[in-house]
Amino acid sequence: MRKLSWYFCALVCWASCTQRVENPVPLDDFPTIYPDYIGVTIPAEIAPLNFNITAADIDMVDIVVHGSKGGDLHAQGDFADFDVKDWHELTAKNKGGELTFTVCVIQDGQWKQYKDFKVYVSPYALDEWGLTYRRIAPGYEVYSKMGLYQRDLSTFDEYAIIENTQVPGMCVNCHTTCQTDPSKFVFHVRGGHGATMFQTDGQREWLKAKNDLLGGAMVYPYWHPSGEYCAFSTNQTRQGFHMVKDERVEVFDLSSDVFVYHPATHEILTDSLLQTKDWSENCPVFSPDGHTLYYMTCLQQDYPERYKDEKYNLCKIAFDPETGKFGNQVDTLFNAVAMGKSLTWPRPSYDGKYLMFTLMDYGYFSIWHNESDQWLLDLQTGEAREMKEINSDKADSYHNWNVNSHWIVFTSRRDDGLYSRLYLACIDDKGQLSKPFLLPQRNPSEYYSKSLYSFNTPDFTKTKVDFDAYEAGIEIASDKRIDTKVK
Amino acid sequence: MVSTNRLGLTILFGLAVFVFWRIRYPFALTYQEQFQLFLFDGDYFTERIAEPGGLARYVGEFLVQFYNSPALGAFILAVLFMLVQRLTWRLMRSKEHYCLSFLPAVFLWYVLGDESVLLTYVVALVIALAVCWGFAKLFLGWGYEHKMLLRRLYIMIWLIPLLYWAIGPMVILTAFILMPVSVIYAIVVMLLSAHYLPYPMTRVMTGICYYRSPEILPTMLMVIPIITILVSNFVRLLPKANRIVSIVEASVMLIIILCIFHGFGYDAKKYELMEYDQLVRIKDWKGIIAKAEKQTPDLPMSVCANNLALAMTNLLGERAFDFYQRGSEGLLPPFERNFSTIQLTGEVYFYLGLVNTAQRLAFEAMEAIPNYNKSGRMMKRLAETNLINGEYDVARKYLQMLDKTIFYRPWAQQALAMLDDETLIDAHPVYGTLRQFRLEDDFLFSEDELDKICGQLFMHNQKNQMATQYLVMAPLLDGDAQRFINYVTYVQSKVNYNPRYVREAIAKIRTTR
Repeated sequence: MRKLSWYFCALVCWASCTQRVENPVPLDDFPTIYPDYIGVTIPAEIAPLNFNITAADIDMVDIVVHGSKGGDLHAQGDFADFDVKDWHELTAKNKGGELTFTVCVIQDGQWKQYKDFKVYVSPYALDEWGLTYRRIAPGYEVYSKMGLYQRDLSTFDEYAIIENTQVPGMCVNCHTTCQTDPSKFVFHVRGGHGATMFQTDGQREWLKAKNDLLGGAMVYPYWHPSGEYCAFSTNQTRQGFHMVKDERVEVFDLSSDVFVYHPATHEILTDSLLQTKDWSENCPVFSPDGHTLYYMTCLQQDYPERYKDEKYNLCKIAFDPETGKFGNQVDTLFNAVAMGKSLTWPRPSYDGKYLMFTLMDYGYFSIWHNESDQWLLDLQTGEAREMKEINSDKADSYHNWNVNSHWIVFTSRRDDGLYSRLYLACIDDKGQLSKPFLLPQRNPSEYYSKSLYSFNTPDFTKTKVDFDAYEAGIEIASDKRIDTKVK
Repeated sequence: MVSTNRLGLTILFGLAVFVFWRIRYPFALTYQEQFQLFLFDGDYFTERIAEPGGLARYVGEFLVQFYNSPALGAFILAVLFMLVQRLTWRLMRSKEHYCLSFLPAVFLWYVLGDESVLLTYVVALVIALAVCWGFAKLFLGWGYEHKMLLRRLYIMIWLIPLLYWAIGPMVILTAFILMPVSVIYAIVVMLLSAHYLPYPMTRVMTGICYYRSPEILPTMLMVIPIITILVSNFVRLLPKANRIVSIVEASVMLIIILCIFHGFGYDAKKYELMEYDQLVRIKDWKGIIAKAEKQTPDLPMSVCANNLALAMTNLLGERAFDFYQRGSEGLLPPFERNFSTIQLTGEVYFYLGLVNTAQRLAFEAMEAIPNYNKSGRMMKRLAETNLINGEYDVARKYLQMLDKTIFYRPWAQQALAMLDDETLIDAHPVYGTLRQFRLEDDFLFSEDELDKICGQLFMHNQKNQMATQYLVMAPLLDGDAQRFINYVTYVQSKVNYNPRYVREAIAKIRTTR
């Protein structure tokens, strides 16, 4: 009885706080909302697409969402804030259908109704628990608080994997899982306690940050699909700083080579074709069948003077996972240099159909290049096209595929030109992309306007990453490291 | 009468603290303020309160924002110091030896000479002592029967973790004073919490937010609670205070205070730099030169500040060698990864018209704050550089944050009104001028080619007097006659620039040849 009374009181309170939309004046325009979710395609598993109305002098917003396959959802308040459970019920019911959003606002004491807009619920499952990424201020050389984080994509919950507060002076970067499976996880620690961390099925190993025979540190990892190998490059990276407005940072490599690491034996597998004298080999990735290693190459330049001539092509070489041997021929897969451009961050889809990369005017650190755009290479036909559906006039950069290759995540600076944020988009069976949508947050406008962080190197993760940051911190500070051997 | 005398002594002490900070070291207060950006914002509060010591940190940072006004800052410190002394007195088990109740506060005064000690520590100490006083009064009324002891125990079980979360490891002081055995419990709570916090164990045990640098273990911070415990618990073992004892105690106290005034705790050179920095911040160029005239600056950053002031008043060529110089590095010091040097160097680049470089250094300075705080001063500079560069969305982000502060709000609101308005920005005396000074041909910045960069600035806009002065004076300060002659010949072919030291140098070089 007491419980019933409580529910009754709650209902009365809710009813008294909710205003009825009466005689709204119809408007001819779509609402201006942040983030721009109008016409986007979402996975049914995604967190509610909460949004803010950006028009001035709005006293209240009322949203009714109607599913084409049934179900309704209502929210009212300062912004569109949907109940997580109700939202998932609605999207699950409307998988492959569409959601129609009716938005009314009180402006100047009068209810006004915008034109309805639609959001499409994709038939493709997400098949992932969430995302992993690095959060760091978009700075230059010095870094403040930063870390590796993971985000449950069905809610707004974010968890730290490891933060640099754990070991003073530490920086962490380049975290990578094996085809989104975090039971095989690698990242680098930079700073006084540098190392490369390998965690395989809960067992951690800390490798020496540098191998003298390689001439540098392990950089840009990518797991072999078997989990038996991990490809890296080793780079002599330098930074430069532009003098004119609209440009900030330039990153270039005095040299770089590609190699493959074998965690079981701590051996490094090299090949003269991947360590040429006059060319920089960089950013290696394995094909989903594990028999090809894609990477990019650039004719070394005189840096920093000729930094604008640093331009990369996409190449490939055969790899035999049984023997750990490389093929004896390198093929150019995409000649960006012939276009007067430079290619970076090759990422093959896990279904073997495509390879996504970023194209820019020069260099490879696309995050600092406004002109950088996403491109898609069809590995069957060899044809590449600009992914105009998802590109913007600001830097669209680092990307990754989900495990069923129907979803991509990438970073973009389209919001303000400096702070990188995460966008997701759907790719259908014909290779057509949907309009990308910004990673949802509880109160998006407040969250993103307050955040002083960029989201870097995003990737999907099948399950929550299980990582003991406290023990890892002790291990990092201990400086106990395993030597790697060059085979 | 005795009680009035005692209170009078406390007020006198407070007055001394006030005068010390207000008159002697007002710039140290503004220096502290620039290491934080206190926001009136729910997230700011929850971020702070999510860690042990968070409440003390929030209160501390709330108070430090008033350091923008040195009089208010000095007043706050005086009140806190008086609270430490009076609460210590209240906790002393013997009501003799009033002078000894000043010991923790006096040591605190000494400790604050280390600019990395945060006000959080002082606030935590005050809260710890206040809780001790409150609960000591409560416990005293309860007596020592078995039932009451259990009740005390029950309270301590709840109090220790809550207080630990509010003020950090200073909880040990409260635990020791209220129930010494509960110190073990407090330590266990702290050790357990370390497993769930993103900090190393030593940091959790010594306080996450008492000291600005996480890589240094500040031992003096541990001494003050020990002194407080000794004073509160063991003063009763001392002989009763007669006139001689009181005189001895007062003399000891006086000597300690004098030691502070004579600089044992306050590094004169460090504080001199703080003063230069503050004068640069408020653009008091004449004040800088006047200070340098009294005592010639010799540290890289003070030389840099003085040269900047000379250039801003168009006197570099007239007076540079009236002061000690450190070559061209005295004009543009090399990059170092610490807040103070980065931000002062950034000021030079800003006025030179190298807006991108000033922006980079402002960002680097803010990122270099060891306790991961943001800086109001640097945020303001970032808003300015983005405004000048036309990056209005980024500028808006910073301005909206500054709009949530007390002291930066008026400026932020003015700047928000300028967003997207090219005419207003172009007409602004500083931003408009800097827009004209900005280079248009891109290249990558190099510290080794600063004179060439000044040359580019001069060639781009010959009204840039600072670039003119830096271009001509850099080789002269380096003693490079050939380079000087090349540059001055070019400059004099374009503008009328022939100050005293340039004339003398030209004459000397000609005579030598």
